[in-house]
Amino acid sequence: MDRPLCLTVESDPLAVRAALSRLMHGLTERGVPAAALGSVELVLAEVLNNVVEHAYVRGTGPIDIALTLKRRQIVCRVCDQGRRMPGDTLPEAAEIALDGPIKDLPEGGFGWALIHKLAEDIHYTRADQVNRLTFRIPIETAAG
Amino acid sequence: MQIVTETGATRQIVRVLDTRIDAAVAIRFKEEMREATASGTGPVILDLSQVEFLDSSGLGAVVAVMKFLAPDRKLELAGLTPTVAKVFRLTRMDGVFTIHPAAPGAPDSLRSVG
Repeated sequence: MDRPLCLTVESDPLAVRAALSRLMHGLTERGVPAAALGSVELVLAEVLNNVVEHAYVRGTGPIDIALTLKRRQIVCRVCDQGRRMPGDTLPEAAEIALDGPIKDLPEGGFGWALIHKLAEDIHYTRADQVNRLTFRIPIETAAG
Repeated sequence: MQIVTETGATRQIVRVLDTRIDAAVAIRFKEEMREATASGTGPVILDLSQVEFLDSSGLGAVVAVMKFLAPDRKLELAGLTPTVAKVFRLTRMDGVFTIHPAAPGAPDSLRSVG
């Protein structure tokens, strides 16, 4: 079993961007095929940006990331010390209405939709002032 | 955020030269697009062939551009790379936009035509 890939990042969009670059590099070194990295980077970007924008909305703080490669999937854990999720539960992947006029199209709400489509076994817990999100991202073999 | 624009008589092509439209640049992207499309008429074709990564903030920004151009001007997309295309597909936004395989005059269009 591989050693986990761990990183602590400050809650800032540019720091998140740099962290994603390092994590993708680390996963490549561990043999994750380049074609699979797009989905992995997307899920992690959405999760990390949610922490920056919502958990740490009133300031900044550290985000701890741990990725472990297990067979054909990447097991992820993301922890922060920001605000708890509303109702202590995961946001649902709301169906986004796209059939109305252009002026009514949503400009947000896509993040959780993408996470729910690309990740599995998503769990959220709050304990000792820490938000802890765990999920698995399957490594795609074919382009899709 | 680097974008270049080519204004023609019937349409305007805007090419994004950055490789990412993400949470770090989404607001800047919207501002630059507003500026770039302030003059000009007809549809705007957004060439995304250099953009390797677009997250939900980037997607929201593209939708915002479509909304501020409407109803007078249409926003069409061109040259989506695989990860960007996936974001549009998974959010079903690929049904909202007209998406061209490649932008006119872009180096990629020479290859995809043949």
